[in-house]
Amino acid sequence: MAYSTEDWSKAITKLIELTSKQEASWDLTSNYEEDHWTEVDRAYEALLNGLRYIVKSSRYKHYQDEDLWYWANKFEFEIYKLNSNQEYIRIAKAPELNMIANLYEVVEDNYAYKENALTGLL
Amino acid sequence: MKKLVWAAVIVPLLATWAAFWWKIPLFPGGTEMTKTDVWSVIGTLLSYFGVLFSGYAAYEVGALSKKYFAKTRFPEINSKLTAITTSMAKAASKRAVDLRPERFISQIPVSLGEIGRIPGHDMAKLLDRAAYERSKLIEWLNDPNKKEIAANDATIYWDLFRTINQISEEITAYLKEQEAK
Repeated sequence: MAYSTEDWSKAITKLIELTSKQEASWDLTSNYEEDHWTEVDRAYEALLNGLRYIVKSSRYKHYQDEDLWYWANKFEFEIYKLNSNQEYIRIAKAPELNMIANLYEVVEDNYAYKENALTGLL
Repeated sequence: MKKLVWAAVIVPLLATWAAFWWKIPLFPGGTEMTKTDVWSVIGTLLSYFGVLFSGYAAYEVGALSKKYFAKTRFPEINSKLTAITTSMAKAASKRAVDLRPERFISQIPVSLGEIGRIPGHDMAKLLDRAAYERSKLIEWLNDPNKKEIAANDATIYWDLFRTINQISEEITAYLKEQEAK
């Protein structure tokens, strides 16, 4: 058995819903698995249901041919779980979906609100 | 379509050849083939192929222009859909009364219509579902008992959100397939 793209999109929708209801609260993090081909610009984590959800905005080199490339942006969504050594291990990575960008924007807005970004100005 | 054209080329050729081989009388008059008869057979075949190929070319040009149309329209529509889903996700904490003036509610049917007018995709079911869910959402928004409830708590809001996202994923997949062809 495996999760389909449909399952992922349901799960991410649910997470957006929880975020906008303030039931999932997000914080900046720098603790995630990295690979050499992508540079993470920003990552947020949320602890929920005993799992750690991470949404990242990252860049990768998009090669047009052997030495011609440009930075391309992508959003990633990953799920981590605590193992017996008290370390978070990545257990899942979402397929490339447009809605991860939506999740990221909602999370960023939510974080700004949580940190009172506009306090003193309003 | 290509196979059909090849069949239409080869079958008459084989038939003519067979008629010559077994000396089936194709023409009125004697069994003997004169030079005039041979030339007239060749001429008929050539003009037949001409009609066939120009028909096929016209068909291919039509298919190509459809493909080009979809290729130019879809990226733009997709960015519109993304804008809609983004504003939907951001507006989710608003109450029903505050949602009514939101722009995306009126943008949704426009984008759905645009996709519907593009030929050569099979998203009709998804489009119908989105249109249905949107009408349900409007019913929910206009319900006087639910004025103060946030869109968060409406299942239909998230259903519509997911359907639009799915359409956007379908378009992305379609564009990728076209690129590979």
